[in-house]
Amino acid sequence: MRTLFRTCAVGGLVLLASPATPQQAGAAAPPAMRLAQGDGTAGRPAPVPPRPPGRGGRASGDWVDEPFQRSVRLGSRGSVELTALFGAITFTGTDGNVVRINAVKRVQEANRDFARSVLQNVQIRVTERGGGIEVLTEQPTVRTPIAVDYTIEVPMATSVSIRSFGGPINVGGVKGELRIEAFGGGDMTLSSVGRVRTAKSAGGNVTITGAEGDEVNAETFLGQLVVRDVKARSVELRSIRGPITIVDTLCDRCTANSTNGSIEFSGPLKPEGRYTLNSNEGDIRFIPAPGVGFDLEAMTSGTFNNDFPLRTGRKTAPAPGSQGRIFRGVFMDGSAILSLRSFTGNLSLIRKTDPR
Amino acid sequence: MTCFEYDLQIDEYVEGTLPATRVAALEAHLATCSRCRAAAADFRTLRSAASTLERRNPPPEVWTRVVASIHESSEQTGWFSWMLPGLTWRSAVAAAVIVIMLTVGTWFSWHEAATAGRVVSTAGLDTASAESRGVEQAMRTQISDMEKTVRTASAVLPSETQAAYQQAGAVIDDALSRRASEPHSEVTQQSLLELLQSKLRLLQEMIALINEMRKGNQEEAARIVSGIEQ
Repeated sequence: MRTLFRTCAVGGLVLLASPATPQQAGAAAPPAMRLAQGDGTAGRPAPVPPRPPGRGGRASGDWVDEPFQRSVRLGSRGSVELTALFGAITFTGTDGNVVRINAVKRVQEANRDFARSVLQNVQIRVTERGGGIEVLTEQPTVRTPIAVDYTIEVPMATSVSIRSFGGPINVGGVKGELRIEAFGGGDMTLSSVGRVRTAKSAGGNVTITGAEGDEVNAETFLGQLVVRDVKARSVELRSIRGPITIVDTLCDRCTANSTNGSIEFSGPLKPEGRYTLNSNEGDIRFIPAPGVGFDLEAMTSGTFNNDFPLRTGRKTAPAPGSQGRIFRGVFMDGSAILSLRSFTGNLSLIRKTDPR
Repeated sequence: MTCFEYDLQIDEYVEGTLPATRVAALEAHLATCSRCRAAAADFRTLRSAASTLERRNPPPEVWTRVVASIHESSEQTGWFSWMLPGLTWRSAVAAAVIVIMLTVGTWFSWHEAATAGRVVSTAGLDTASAESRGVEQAMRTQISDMEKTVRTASAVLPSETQAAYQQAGAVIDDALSRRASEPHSEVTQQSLLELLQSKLRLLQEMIALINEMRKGNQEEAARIVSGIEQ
């Protein structure tokens, strides 16, 4: 968590000037040449020579790459902290107690001498400290598109922390605590993971499948947020523009908030579970699987469609000065607590037929 | 009628909004049903408690501690020193954010308590409305100040990051414009305040990130931001 600024202080101008999106970087053409392999222990970066004239600071030429490999022994419950810039990131949980870091440093540059010198100054620093491993990406201040792709294997119970500015992030089979923040674009996919303390993307989609742990907290500003087959005590989801979809998720407490994205929940309810779905402007659809009753409070200024034979089913008169309408009702034993609210969107409470 | 059906009328009965035609029947039921009497007593207690809630400002010592903390961290690490030229002003900005967030949080808590207690009285609504407009104005002022800061300093962020935050901010701004064009109501006002709260949160995050990028000590920045959020 503490190293992002250092990385960016080194690479800030590159980030600003780089015209390559992470997606472009990830879909780069085959490398035109392969340079000497780094060992991750390089000392002070060599000075980068002046850029050849006539480039105008724009990307040109093929991608040139340089691989990096490093293996480090780690305790069964250690931590790995990666600070990246642009590029694809993949973490996989494995048996054993070794962290295997495979990276490819890439630069898009037609002039090979210049590319070589830039790559020499793209540093991957691996530091072991206090039962954890810190992987830090540093890059020089040049107006050339640079990306570093990481493929990292970690012991299954490792806690993983990732901070990145762009590029897809995939994490699979890691059961330790996850804290992932992507400050740019690029989709984030987490599968078969444990506790998700943070999964946050500014511009990309976030998909979490098969998580089982104490909590799942996820957020995206602009992308879609999908949570599927999750078992957790607490699930907390947030978006600004993107829709939130929650499928077959069992939790004691499920909260989803969106500014103007839609929210859809479908799947089984937990008796005594609490489900709170709020969107300022988006529609909300709630499709509970048969079997568990609920106590509903719903508020909207839009339409409220309900398939359930709610006891009371009455529409509460709006408070003075209020445009919204509040609906309350109980289905079956009312054991789950359900709160749906959209100020201007529509609410739908959809009954799924029991296959039996 | 069953207890369940009477139970649904108790909140309106306590509020005094239950139609007179139903009051007599409910009172007759309350006379014979201890469970519903207890429920009515609970509602009265809740209503009474909710109506006495006041907006709480943070105690002075909180402000003092925050400012002292910012002074101290600024001297130690230079955190925030790039952003604003004067120590007093930057302390005030940071402290103002805290006060705004506390005030907004208190207002939402009050509002939720009032809603839960079904406190519906014209005088109460007028007071709530005036308070919420005051909170709105304070939030708008704070947002405006933070936007100025972001405008002058966001160039340090990667263009993709800038774009994502700006687009997210624009989504909230659009929603705010729509709320502003709607007739004033309690619901509209609540929606508007939640949008402003989202905007504040977004700007806070962006400023924290800018700090890290510029020169900040990230651990220190995280500690202070965490303190602000608490």
